[in-house]
Amino acid sequence: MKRRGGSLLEVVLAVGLLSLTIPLLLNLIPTGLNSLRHADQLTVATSLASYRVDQAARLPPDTPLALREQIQVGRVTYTLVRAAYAVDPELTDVDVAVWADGMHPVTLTTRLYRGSH
Amino acid sequence: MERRGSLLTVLLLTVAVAVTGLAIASSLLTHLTLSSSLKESVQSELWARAGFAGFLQRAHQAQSDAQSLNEARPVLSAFEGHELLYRRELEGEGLVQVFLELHGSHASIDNSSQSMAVRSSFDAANQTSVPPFCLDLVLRVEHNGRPRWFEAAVQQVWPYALAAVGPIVIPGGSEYTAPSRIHGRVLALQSELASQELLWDAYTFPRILKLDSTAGLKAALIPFIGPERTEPVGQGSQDGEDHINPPVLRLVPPHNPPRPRLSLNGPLPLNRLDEVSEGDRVGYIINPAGHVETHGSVIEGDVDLCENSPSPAPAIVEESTTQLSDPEQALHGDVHHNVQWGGAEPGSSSGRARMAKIVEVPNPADWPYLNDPRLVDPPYRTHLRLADPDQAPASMTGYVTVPVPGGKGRIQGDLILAGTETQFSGDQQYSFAEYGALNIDHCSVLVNGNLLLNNGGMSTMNGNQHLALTGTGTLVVNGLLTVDGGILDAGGSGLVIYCRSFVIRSSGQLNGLLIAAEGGTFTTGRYPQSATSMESPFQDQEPTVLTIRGGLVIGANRLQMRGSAGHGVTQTTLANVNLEYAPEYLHGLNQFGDLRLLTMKERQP
Repeated sequence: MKRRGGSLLEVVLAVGLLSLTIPLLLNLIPTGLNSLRHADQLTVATSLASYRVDQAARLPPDTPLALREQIQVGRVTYTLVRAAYAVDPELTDVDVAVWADGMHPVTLTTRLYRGSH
Repeated sequence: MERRGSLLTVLLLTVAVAVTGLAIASSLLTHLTLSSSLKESVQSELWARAGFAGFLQRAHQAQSDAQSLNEARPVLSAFEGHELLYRRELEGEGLVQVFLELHGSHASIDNSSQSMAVRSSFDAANQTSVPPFCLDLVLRVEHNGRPRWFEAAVQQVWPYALAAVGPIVIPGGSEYTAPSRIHGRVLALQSELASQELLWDAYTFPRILKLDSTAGLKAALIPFIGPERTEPVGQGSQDGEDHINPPVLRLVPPHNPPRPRLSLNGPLPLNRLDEVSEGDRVGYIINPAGHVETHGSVIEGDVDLCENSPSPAPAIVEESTTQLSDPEQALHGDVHHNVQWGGAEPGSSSGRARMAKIVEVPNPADWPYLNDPRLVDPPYRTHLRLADPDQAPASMTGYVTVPVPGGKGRIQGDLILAGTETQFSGDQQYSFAEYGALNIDHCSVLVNGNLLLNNGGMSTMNGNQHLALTGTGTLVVNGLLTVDGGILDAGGSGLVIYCRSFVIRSSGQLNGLLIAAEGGTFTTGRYPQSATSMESPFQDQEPTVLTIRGGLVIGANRLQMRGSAGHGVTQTTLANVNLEYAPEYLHGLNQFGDLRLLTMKERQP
C-alpha cells in the first residue's frame, strides 16, 4: 500500500492557517466589544441629547436653557451640557453635548424661536 | 483518507471560525453604523426644526408688517428666494442650509384658509394628508451638500372664541336674561380702564351711544352699567364761534374691591331708568333696583388671563357656584394666569399693539363711495340690500337693492334703517320701530358713520319674525353698530363685522366674526320697569338668544351713554348669547394665531 505524502505539509499549512486566523479573530473580540460599547453609548448619548433639545423647545421663553448634569445609565456615567447662544432677540441656538469616559462627545444642535409660544 | 479528512476538518473549522468572527464583527460594525445614522438622522431633523424656527420668525415679522387683517394673506410668498437657515459649523461639521421648497414636484402647500384637507406633494392620488387650516411645509436640509427632505404640518389658527379687554361679565339666566354659553377658549386681557385712570377728550369721546331714538334699548342696558364713573376735568373752552371744546372726562374706576376680570353668573345689580320731567323737559335718572341672582351660564373652554396693561395687575376670575337646581360647574376648563399672549411680556406695549392691530377698523381708501340716492332717501331705507351685481341676484323680494360694483364700496355718514309703526293695546298706544333690515350680499361695505337697525327690540311682529341683519360678506361700521331687535341671520361663508362699538339686542344665528375696537354689549329685551313708564308688550317675551358661530373680539370698554352723565357699560357684557368657536369663520384672525408645528417627518422624494 503506497503511503501518500504531504501529511507534514498539510499539518504545517493547517497550523499556519490557524495561527494566522485565530489571532486575527481573537483580535476582533476586543475591537468588536469596543465597537458594541461605542454604538451603545452613541445611541444612549443621542437619546439623552435629543430629549434635552426637545425639552428646551418646550420651555417658556424666559426660562434659562443652560444645563449641566450627570446621568447614570447602567454602569456608565454620562455628562450632559446644554448651552444656548442668542442669535438675535427671538432666535436662540441650542447645543447639547453628551459624553462618557473615553467617548467622543455627541453633539446635537438646533435653533429655537422664542418670540412666541 | 483519515489524514485528509482531519485536514479538511481543520480547514472547515478554520473557515467556520473565520466566517463567524467576521459575521460578528460585521454586525457590530453595522450596529455602530446604525447608531451613527441615528445620530445623523436626529441631527438632520433638528436642522429642519432650526429652519422652522427661521420660518416662524419671518412669518411673525410678516404679520406684524401687515397693514390690515381684512383679508387673509398668503404666508408662503414671504419666503420666495430666501433660505431659512445658513450655518457654517465651527468644528469641521461643514455647511448647513435649510430651504423652503416653493416650486417643483415637492413644493409646500398653503391650505391655511381652506376647511378641507388637501393632497400634499408626497401624497398618492387618493390621499389628502394636509389638514384643514394648515400649511404643508417641505423643508430641504443640506448638510455638506447632501440633501434630506422633511415635511411639516403647521397650523395657524386663532384659538379664541372670545378675546376681550376685561372686565367681562357673563350674567346667567334670570327673569331678565337667558343664560349664555361660550364653547371655546376665552382670552381676558387687562383693561387700561381697570388698572388706571384714563383721560379722554369728550369731544372725541369714543362712540357715545345715540340712544335718543332707542330709549327702550337704553333702558335695556341699564342693568349692565359698570361701577365706573366719568368726571369732567375743567370747564372746557370755546374755540371761535362754533367750535366748543367740552371738558375732558376722567374715568374713575372703582378700587375697592377690585373688579374681576371675568365674572360668570352671580348677582346682577339692577338699575332702573326713571323718567323725570322738569317743565317741558323730560329726562331720565338711574336708580338702583336691587339685585337678581343669575345662573346657568357656562364656559366650555380654558380661560387665559393676560396682563397687557402698562400697570399689570393680577386677574380675578369670579365664578358663582350658585346653581339653584343644577350642581354642574359653570367653568369647564382651566384658568391660566399671566399668559404671555403673542410672547409679550406683561405690561409691554407689544401686546397692546397687537390687540390694537387686531381690532383696527379697516378704512380702505380705494373703496369707492356709493352715491346711490336711495341710501339717503328715508322711505327706501327700511329694507336695504347691498349686493355685488357680479355675484348676487340683481334683486330680492322685499328689499331695495343697491348695487356695489366690484364688491366693495362705502357709505359716507350714518346709515339709519328704521321705520315706525303704531299699535294699540286697549287704550294704550305704542309706537314701534318696524323693520330695519340690512342685507349684505357677497360684498364688502364700509359705513363711515353709525349704523342703526332699529326694530324696537322686537324679534317678531304679528307672529312673523323679522330679519335685521343678514347676508355674507364684510360689514365695516366706523362708528356704533346698533341692532335693536330683529333677527341676525348670516350663514354660508359668514359675515365679518368690524365696528368701533356695538350694542346688540337680537336673536338668530350669526356665522362669522364680530370685532369691536372700543366696546360691545349684548343685552336683553327685558329690564326693570320704572313705576311711571309705560309697559311695553315685549316685556312679556322670553329672553331670546343670539348664537354666534365664529368668534368675538372686543378691544376696549368705552361705551358711554349720552344723557347719563358718568354712566357707561364699562364691561364687555354677554347676555343672551351662545358663542361657539368656529375657526372656519376666522380667516382674518387666523394670521394672528400662533403657528403650531403639528408633525414633522422625513420624506423620500
